[in-house]
Amino acid sequence: MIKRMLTIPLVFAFCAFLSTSVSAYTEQYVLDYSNSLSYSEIQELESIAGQIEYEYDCCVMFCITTEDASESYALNLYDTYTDNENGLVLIHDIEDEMYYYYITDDAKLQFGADEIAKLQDAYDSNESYFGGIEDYYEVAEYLLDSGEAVVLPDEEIYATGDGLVDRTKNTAKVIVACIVAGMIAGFIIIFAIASKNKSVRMQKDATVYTRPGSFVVTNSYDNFLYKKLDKTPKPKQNNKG
Amino acid sequence: MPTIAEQKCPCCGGGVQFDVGAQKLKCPFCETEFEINQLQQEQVEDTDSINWSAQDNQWSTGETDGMNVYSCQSCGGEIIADSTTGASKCPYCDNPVVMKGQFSGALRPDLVIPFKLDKKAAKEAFKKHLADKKFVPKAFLSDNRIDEIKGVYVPHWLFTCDTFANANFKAAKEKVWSDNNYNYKETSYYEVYRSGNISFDNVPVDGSTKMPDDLMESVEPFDLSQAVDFNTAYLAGYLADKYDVTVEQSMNRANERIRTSAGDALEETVKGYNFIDSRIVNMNITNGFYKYALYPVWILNTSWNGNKYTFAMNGQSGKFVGNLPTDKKAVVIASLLLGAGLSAVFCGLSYLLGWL
Repeated sequence: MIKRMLTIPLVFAFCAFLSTSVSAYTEQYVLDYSNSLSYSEIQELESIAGQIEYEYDCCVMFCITTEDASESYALNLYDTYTDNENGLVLIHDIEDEMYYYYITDDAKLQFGADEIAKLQDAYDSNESYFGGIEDYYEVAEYLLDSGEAVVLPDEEIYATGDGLVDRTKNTAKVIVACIVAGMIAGFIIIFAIASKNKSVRMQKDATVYTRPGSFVVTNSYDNFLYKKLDKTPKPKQNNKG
Repeated sequence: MPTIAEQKCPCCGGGVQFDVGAQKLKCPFCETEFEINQLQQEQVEDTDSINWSAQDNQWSTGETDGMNVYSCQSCGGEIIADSTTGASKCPYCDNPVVMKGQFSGALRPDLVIPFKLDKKAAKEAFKKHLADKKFVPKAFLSDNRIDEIKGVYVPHWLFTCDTFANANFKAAKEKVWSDNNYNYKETSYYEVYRSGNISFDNVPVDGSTKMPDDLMESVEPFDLSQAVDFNTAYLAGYLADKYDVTVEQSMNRANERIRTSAGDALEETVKGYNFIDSRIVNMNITNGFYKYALYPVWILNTSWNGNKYTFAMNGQSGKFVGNLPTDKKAVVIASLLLGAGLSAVFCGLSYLLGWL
């Protein structure tokens, strides 16, 4: 009986230890899916990022990948590796030379568009991946320390591409857009159903009265007239790689 | 006074009618059936030589314009009909009568498609038509009674022709590529010419102003292979009109439909382009001729809320058409409810996608 009484809390304690261990193990700040960084470089960067989180309660992550990333990919990545409500992740898709950001939307500390630009510039301006990420963390620390990472209630900023394309999300605007879209879709569907009450209309053509097999093309030609070329500049390419 | 023809039963003297099921003439009183030609021969032998005429003329000048007065051969009652009515019923004895003069000489139809479906089928089709539709006012459904159901032979002009058509299209091909600095879209425009021959058989045009053109075109098509040579016996028991829209007046409508179909056929041969910007179709019609035919249509009339609603059923195929009233309040409420539901779904999706 005593053994059983001791066993139960021991099992709970062991489970708690395991979960803590796993949690600590999976807490990563620098993710390198392209093998661009060495193990020691990652460890060094992890240490810097860990120190930033410890001091400012802000999880600043960085990811280099060769996979097709996206904004939702960034969100999932951040949620997978941390529960911290304050933070951001910058993903660099080195194959497509695209950048994706995710910034937590309910954070007390947030980075605005200007701050994101500074972070990306810091990364871009260094020739090496390690140096770039190191500069990225340096700027992040500076922004947090100087208070430039401000509180932005109800706003979330994503940036895509190698230029900063900001998409400011406002919860109220999204809700209004959902309601408007829902209402318009509802009216279109119902009016389409109601329009079936009208079945009287003139025929458009006489195709049903075409004599079977009577159609024969006697002459045809296609003459080129002119050409029109539309040229739009691509977003600026990144110089790393 | 214009004369009328009444198909009488040689057995009992009752007025016979065309029976849809048997496709023969049938006496509704003694139920004797007759072949169309058989009865007509007997009728010729038994034709009376009695002619009725009006005793005096009390109509004022111009009052009878567009109106004909007939005398029923069964009961002697006076039948007043407009100048285009070709078959009707005596309002006193209900015997079916055919106004012979309306279909004689140049006015004689070439073909008639006999009714294949009866009044009962028309009623059933009307019920089905109502059952299929949403947002019809409940009051219309519950109070609905058909005021009138009548089988009408509607005059149609049928146009047959060979057509040589040519069409000019402006079509475009798009090509998209990119280099390190730019995205490119090149649109190449072409003048595309197609010409060809195409033939049309029996394109119908409504020859009666009494029947709305859109209603008549909505019950198309009719299967003309089931048409028979015109015989007034087929009109017994139905209403019939002679045409009051001339063939010349009807040609434009036939040409319009033929032109659209010829253009569509030529356009289908234009392939390999991303889009067609414009089209101009010209056509020449050769070997064109027309026929005059009577098409069987059941007309159902009802009124509700001060408005008249007319429905039509193809008396051959059973195709039923007719505009129904719409309950606007129900439409608005349903739209709002569905809109609210969809809004909630969109909000939920936005939340799942992390936009909220």
